[in-house]
Parts: sequence; structure tokens; C-alpha cells
Amino acid sequence: MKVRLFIVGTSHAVAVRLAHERVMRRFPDLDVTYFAATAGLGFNLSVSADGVLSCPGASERDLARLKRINGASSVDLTPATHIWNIGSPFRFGVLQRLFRYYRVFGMGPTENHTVVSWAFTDEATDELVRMAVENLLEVYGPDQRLTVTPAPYPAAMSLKHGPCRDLPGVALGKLAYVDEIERSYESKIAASVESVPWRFLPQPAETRARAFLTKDEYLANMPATPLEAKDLRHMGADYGAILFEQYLTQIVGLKPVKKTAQA
Amino acid sequence: MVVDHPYANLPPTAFWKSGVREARELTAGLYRPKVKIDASTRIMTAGSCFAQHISRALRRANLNLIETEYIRLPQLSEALLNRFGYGLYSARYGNIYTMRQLKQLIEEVGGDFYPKDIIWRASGRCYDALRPNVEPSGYTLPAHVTEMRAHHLRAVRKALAEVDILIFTLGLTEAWEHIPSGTVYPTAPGTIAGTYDPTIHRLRQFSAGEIAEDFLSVRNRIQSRRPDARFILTVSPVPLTATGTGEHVLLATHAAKAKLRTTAAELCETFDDVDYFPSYEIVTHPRLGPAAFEANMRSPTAEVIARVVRCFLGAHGLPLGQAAPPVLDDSDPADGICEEALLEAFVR
Repeated sequence: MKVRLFIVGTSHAVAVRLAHERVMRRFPDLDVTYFAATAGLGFNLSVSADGVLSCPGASERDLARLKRINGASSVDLTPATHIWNIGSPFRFGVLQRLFRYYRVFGMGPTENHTVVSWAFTDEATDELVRMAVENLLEVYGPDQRLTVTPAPYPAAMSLKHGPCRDLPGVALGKLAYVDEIERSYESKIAASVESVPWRFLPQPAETRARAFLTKDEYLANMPATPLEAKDLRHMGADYGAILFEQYLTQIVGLKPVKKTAQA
Repeated sequence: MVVDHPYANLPPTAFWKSGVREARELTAGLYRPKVKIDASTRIMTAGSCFAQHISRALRRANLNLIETEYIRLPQLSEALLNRFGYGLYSARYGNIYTMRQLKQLIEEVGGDFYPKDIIWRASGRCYDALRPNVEPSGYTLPAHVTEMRAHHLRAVRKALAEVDILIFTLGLTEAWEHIPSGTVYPTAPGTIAGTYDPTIHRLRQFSAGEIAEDFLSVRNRIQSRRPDARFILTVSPVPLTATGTGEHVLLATHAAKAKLRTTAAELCETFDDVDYFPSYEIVTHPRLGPAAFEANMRSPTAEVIARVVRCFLGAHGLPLGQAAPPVLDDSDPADGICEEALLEAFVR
């Protein structure tokens, strides 16, 4: 049976879209439909009883935006054998702020920050993840065709440069216990997603620079854009290709055709 | 002018029939603040569990509530924050049921009292015996308790240095005490954590006189740094969960509330800077009867709490606030960038 894959998500689905042709050469027996919206608009999406993903109650302006991006303001998910949601932020911004403004007692210097316990940050992380999953559940329901992949982490260079340098993530990246935070956060996402039950596909290990950071080489706009104008959060085709292949092999169970010289 | 008798010219609120039985508005005339609050008044709150309702109402009304130990992340639920003692009071001291407990805390902040036996254990974890509820699963090491307590005391000191008005809800007259040091605890040893040892722990029952003395000590200490600080006392209408006195809990409850109410009345009559807010009388108002409480006959209903809050804020000419809606915050601050990326990749 031909795999009919519907890729839905935020602007982070762009990486996969950019890798589409490259991946199709290795997985030709695949039919892919894309439908994406910016993260803010994504909150208003919902799947109707007859399986159509749309944005009920959206303003004319937002409907026009959806049409401009996708060629239509809704998509029928009924024919899908698989649905893949890419780019949910899973409250990462809030997590960053939590660890920027508050220091965990007993896990390193606390400087002049308000001190909190690991038990508190652990429960806070749990709550943030649970709320994010509940939002997705409101959109898709417990559809077992669904796999979820969060937004990739910002590029490593955001610690030093570019528009992301003022983001709280910089402080998070400098914490001695950042690995533990990441482990806890991702295991909670996996557990929460899989309890629906959906499937969870995390950011590929080989694309990660360190905790909560992606290797710079996977950025969408490397190296042409001047540094100060760079978008340090969206990844490009190379990232998309790795992620896409992992999805197809690990989740769908496809095997790639033999690589050719051009592939 | 000659009048028939001293009651002849009194207002309707002076009479049971017109003031209670037939009063159009149940709380009308019950509270005439002598200590006034406005938007600039820096308010510190503390007390027994009922004080949480007052504190929450003040926060929602956007009053200038002192908060020196807090989490400012509106995306987290109030329930989660409250479970860890955040967003309940001005600092993370949890419920302060007795005036002795408040006095002890303020003396500890000033370096004049060193509580003893404050690290309690349960299931291999360590708890701060003076606020065992604020860290529900306790700490790994005893040193964590003392270090977190040091952070807490700094926060309380900061709050006390800013206070214009302290609103304190008197809850209990009995408390468990560490005999050698006189340290009193908010809970009995062995309940949430710790071990009860009758050779070093005893139940203290505070008299009205002792409660008043403790309050005056609190007042002196606060006014030594904030001479214009004022005080609003309330009595919790919530009955005792249990009494350690051996008395029937109903008798113990009434005796405790009577003592607390008497103390508050006398302090209020004696000092211009001390006021009383009748939350106790509103909740136990005869016209409400048992309907004021949930099925457990102990927790005031949300409706009656709202009535208490309306009475308090209304008397100060302050508007009622609303709970802040949850913040979703998964939207990207730079949605423009996102849309650009989408258009570039999808529109081909």
C-alpha cells in the first residue's frame, strides 16, 4: 500500500519541505501533502468530525495567509495513512524563562537569583509539557496515525550572535545542569505524547550541538545571510533530510532505495 | 434634646432585627475600615489558611501586594505555584496559624530567635518543620533545609522592610512546641513529617493574654523599622481540623475562635493602628447558616468567600479583580520570520 503522508505543523516543517525532492528520490513510493501555519495561528486549528483540518473562526486575513502558504485554507486528512506534526514549541520559551530567572538550589551557583527546588522545576516542566500536549490533542484528538516532532532547538551560534542573543535561552545554555534539564524535558514530552497514544520522534541526535542547541551547519540560511540578520531558529534542507529519513525508517518502517551518485 | 433611652437614636445596624434578620444586604455596615487601603498601600499578608483567600483577592484587585518570594511565569498554573507555597502570601512561609508562630518568625528574621529541631524527616526526605507544606516532597539533605530557610528569611526581611499594612488572619490558639527551645510548629510532629516525642514535644494552648502580648511584640518589631505600619486582624472562620487538647473538637473550635475574636477586639479598641475585618462574622452569619460551608462543614463555599472579598474591597472603595486568564505562549515572538520561511518553502 502506498504511504500517504500528511505533514502538518509550523514554520519548522519548512526544513522537511526543503528536503522533499532529495528524500523522494530515496523513498519514491511515497505521497506527501504539506499543510503549515505559523505557531500563533496553529492554536486555532482543529480537525472536524469528517477529518478536515482547518482554522474555524479565523479572520479573513488569517484565512488568506493560510491560502497563500498552502494553496488552501484547509486540508482533508481522511486519506492519510500517516500524519506527522512538526514544530510544536512545547512551551520551550517558558522553560527557558523558568531557568533564566530562577536557579535550582543545590545544582550550582545561584548568584543573585531567586532559588527554587528541582522538584518545583520538574513539576513546572511537567505542567508545561502537559499543556502543550493538551493543545495538540484539542486539534487532532487521539488520532493514532499521528507522530509528533518538536521544533528544533536554536542554532548554537545564538549563544553569541544574532537576533537570538537576547533570548533567555542564552542563560539556559550556560547552566551547568543544562543536560539534566534537557533530559527531563524531552523524556516528559515523549511520555506525554506516547500516552495519548501518538508516536514521538525527537530532534535527530546528529543535528545537536549540545543541550538545547542545534549545530550551526543545519541553519536554513547558512552561510549567505549576514550574521546580524540571520534567523537562528529555522533549520534548512540538510536538517530536514535527516529528520525526514528518520521518520520514514523509524516510524513508517520504509527502507530507502539504494543511493545513487546524485542522491 | 431629651431622648427616651440610650438606644433611641442608634442606627438600624445596632439592632438584630434591622441589622441582621431583615437587613437588605447581609454585610451592610459590618465593616467600616479605620485602617484605609488604597492602590499605593504596600500590603503584607499572612495567617491561617483562610488568609489565602484574602491574599488572592488582593492580588486579583491589583493592589500593591508585597511579594518577595515569587515565581513570575503567568504560564504556570496558580495551583502548581500554590502547591509549592508561591503566590499565597508575601513570602513563602506557608500558613501561620498562631500569633506565636508569627512572632517567632519575625524574631528569627531579626536574629533574636534561633528555632530548634526544625529539620523533620519522612520517607528519607528532609522537611522544614516551620513550613513543611511549601516543598511537598521535601529536600534531599538537611543542609538544603537550612540553606533554603536562609533564602526564605531574607525574603521575609525584605517584605517586613516594605510593609505599610500587615493583614493577619488568626487561625488557632493551640500549637505544638519543642519544649527545650520554645519553638512552635505549624503542624504536629509526626503528621506531615518528623517524629513525635512526648519528652520534647508538647501541646501549647495560648491564652488571650499571650496572643495579645505576642501581637504587641510583632507590632513593636515591625514599627521599629516602619513606624507608620498598621495592622488589620481577621479571625479565620474555618473550624479546627483536630484538637490535641482532648476536648471535643466543636468545643475547642468555639473556645479558640472566642479567644481570637476577643483578642482582636481588644487590640482594635486599644490601638488606632489596629483594625478588625469581620470575615469570621460574615461566614458564620446566621442568615447563611450551614449553606456557608461545603459538605465537610468546614470549608467556606466559594460563594461566601466571594462575599467576604466583596465586603472587604467594597469598604475600601476598591474594585473586584478577576483571575488572570491562562497564557498560552506557544506563539513565536517573531511570527513574521516564520511566515516568511513558510512562504519561501511552500509557495513554489
